[in-house]
This record gives sequence, C-alpha cells and structure tokens, in this order.
Amino acid sequence: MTLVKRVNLEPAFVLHTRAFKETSLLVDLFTKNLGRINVVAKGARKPKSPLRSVLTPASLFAVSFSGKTDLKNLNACELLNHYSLSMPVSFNSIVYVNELLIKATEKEDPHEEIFNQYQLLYEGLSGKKERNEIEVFLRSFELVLLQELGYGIDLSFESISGNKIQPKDKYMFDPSLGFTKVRTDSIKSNGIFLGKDILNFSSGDLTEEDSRLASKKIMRLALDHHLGNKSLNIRKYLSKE
Amino acid sequence: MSKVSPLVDGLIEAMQCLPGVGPKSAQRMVLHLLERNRDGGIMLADIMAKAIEGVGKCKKCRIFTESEFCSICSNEKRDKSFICVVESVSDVFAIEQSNQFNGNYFILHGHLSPIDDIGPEELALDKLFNLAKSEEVKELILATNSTLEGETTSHYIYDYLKDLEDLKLTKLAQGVPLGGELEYVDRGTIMHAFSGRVELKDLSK
Ligand SMILES: [Zn+2]
Repeated sequence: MTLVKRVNLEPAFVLHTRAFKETSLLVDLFTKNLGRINVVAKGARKPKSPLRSVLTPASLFAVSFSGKTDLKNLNACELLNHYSLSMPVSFNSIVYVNELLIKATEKEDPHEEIFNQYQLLYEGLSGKKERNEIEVFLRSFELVLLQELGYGIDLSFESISGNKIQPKDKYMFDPSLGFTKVRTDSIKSNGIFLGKDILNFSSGDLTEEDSRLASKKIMRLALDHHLGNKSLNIRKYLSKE
Repeated sequence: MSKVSPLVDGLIEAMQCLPGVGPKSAQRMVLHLLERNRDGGIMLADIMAKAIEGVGKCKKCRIFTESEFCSICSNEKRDKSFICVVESVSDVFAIEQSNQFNGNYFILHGHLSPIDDIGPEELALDKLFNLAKSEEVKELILATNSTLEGETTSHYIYDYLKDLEDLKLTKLAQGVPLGGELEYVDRGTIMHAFSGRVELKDLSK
C-alpha cells in the first residue's frame, strides 16, 4: 500500500536507524496514524544536517515525509519530547519492543492504539523505576499489541466454559485458545499457571515474583506462537533477563 | 563514461569502491595517476595491497594494526588502568586528537542491534569483560554514541560489570557544546543537558 504522497508533522518514534550510503540514514519510523514507515534521511550523518536530530534516542518527533514508493524521503524532523531513560533495563525494554514491533506489524499498517501504548511505555520507563513497575508497562504493551493484531487474551475468564478464573485453581494456557482449568494437583510446567498469578497480571499487579514470572511466560508463549518463525534476536543475548 | 581499455576502465570502476567516489571523480583520479603521477600510483598500489593483506585487529583493544598489539597498547607511557570503550576507530582518532586521554581503548566495531542481528559476540564483549576483570584496569569509560543503540550497548556493558569491585564505570558528560550559544543548540541536547545538570558546588571541588 503506497498511497502516501506528502505527510506533514506526523507524530512518530524512531524504531531503528541504519547507515545508508556515505552520509545518509535509513530510518524505520513508527507513526501515530500511518503505522511503520521507512524513510531515507538524506545527509543525516553530516555534522550540521538538520535531519541529524532523528538520531536523538528515546524521543517523540513530528516528522514530515513524502514519496510514492515504499521508501519515502524524510523532509523534516522536529523533536517534540525526549524521555530520560536511566536504567539498563529501560534501554533493553525499548530495544526489545522495537524489534517486536518491526517483526509483528506490517509496513504502512495503521495501529493508533499500539502507538498510544508505545508512548505510555516510554512515559512509564522514564526516570528511576523498580523492576516490577517496568515489567507492568512492558506486559501491558504486549497485551495491547496482541489485542490490536487480533490475538487478544482473556485474563479473567476461561475460554471454553466461560467460567471466571479462580485464584486457587490451575490453568493451562494455549496461545490460540486461552486458559482452561486443569486438575489442581497438576505439576507446575511451562504452560500451566496459578489463577492468582493470572488475575494479578490482569489487574496489573506484578509485585509478587511468581506473578511477574508467570505474566512474562504467558506473553512469551503467546508472542512466540503468533510471531511464528520470526524469533526475536534480542532474546539470544538477554537470556538472563 | 570512457571505454578506453579494459585496464583503464577496470581501474576507474575499482576506484569507486572508495566512499564518496563516483564515476566522475574516479575518472579524474585515474587520469591524474596515469598522466602525472605514476610513481605515486605504484606506491599507492603497493602499500594498499600490503595493508589489506597484513592489517588485522590488536589482540587487546581491536584497533587496526599489523602487529599483535597496537602502538597504543604497547606504549609504556600510557596508563593501562583506564580503558575507553568506543564504537569505531574513527572515535579513537577523534579522542587522540584532543590530547585529553592517556589511557587505552577498546573498539567494539559497532553497537548492539538485534534487528540487524548484531549481538555481544559480534562486538567481542567477552574480550572486553575479561579485560575489565584484569587487575590493572581501574576505570572503564563508556564512550559509545549517544544514539539508542549506542546507549543500549553502554547499559548492557554496565549491567554486566556493575557488581565488579574496584572497577569504576563512567560515561562521558553530555550537554551544551563549548562555545555553543544556547539559541543554536538542538532541542534534544538542551533537554538532555537539563536532565543531566550539575550543582556548581560539585564542579568547584
Ligand atoms: Zn591495542
């Protein structure tokens, strides 16, 4: 889909940049109204180029671009907000989410809700945060992403029976189906979770270590399933996370 | 373009592997060498072949060198307790020109970028971590670029080494450039400089 001819002052985040030719950059933008857009920022690597600001990390921009093909020209890039990230885990989270967005969404597919959630994630990651606070923002982002791509997960009700999830019961998670109650003496395994942890995830309370790990595993199972073979490279080197 | 002889055409084409050299300037260079500076051309070809063949990476800091260790690492006058971590050799050149730093370097030759599948292995981070653990190193200065990937790389290194006793981890200060008028400084830099402002009391110590 290449309908865009000229877009002015569109809110956007930069997901990825790559050196292009002698002095230019290829930029993967995530825009509010048009989804992911690839642009070339001509001369952006020259010291005095006005487009150089596109390299400012962790920032919201107003971008103007034009072109009829897949690869558009970045004409202007104005910085609207810079988020101050201070923790290593915040940087890892952004790099993870950026790779996730690039692999999970199609180019020029509008996803305003995901964009809003992405902005909330940046706001959430700003400043000094506890690890579990950061994870709450990450998990809600993943949930909204799945929801918007048509793979929403119900964290309050069982999928087939429609019964409410109970704190003391155990549930099996199938990414294409949802949660199903299993015998309470089932051993904890990769796809089996305690109701309490699922409900904590649902209410955004990840203060308990068990709930934090469970929510992470649920999202991991769902994302791996829906991303198919597009596995995330970042997992290879953040395995200790 | 010309079509003079296979060798002349071939040389013009080969020249274009250099950054910033298009067909026009390649043609100008080749004609210059053939018309006016054949000796220079022979020297160029000779040293280029030797350099490409013989230059590898320093075993300690990964800068380009034809020896096992580069001249910075083997210079006894330099302070081995400081290691400055940079993304590229051109960063080393820039820092060396400032005459401000007398320690050693570690060159990553890139930054972490999962989308391009560049991870710790490609940057030889194991090598850096081992170096940081050696007794002679007292401070690691993280001087990667101030881009998302550059900062992520620094934070990754910091995260890995932060619990090491007796190792100081620092990063370069960022803010308004010297001689810069605030009016002309870009907004990102101003915002960053504000969040990283320092108390004057600390500066006068
Ligand atoms: Zn060296």
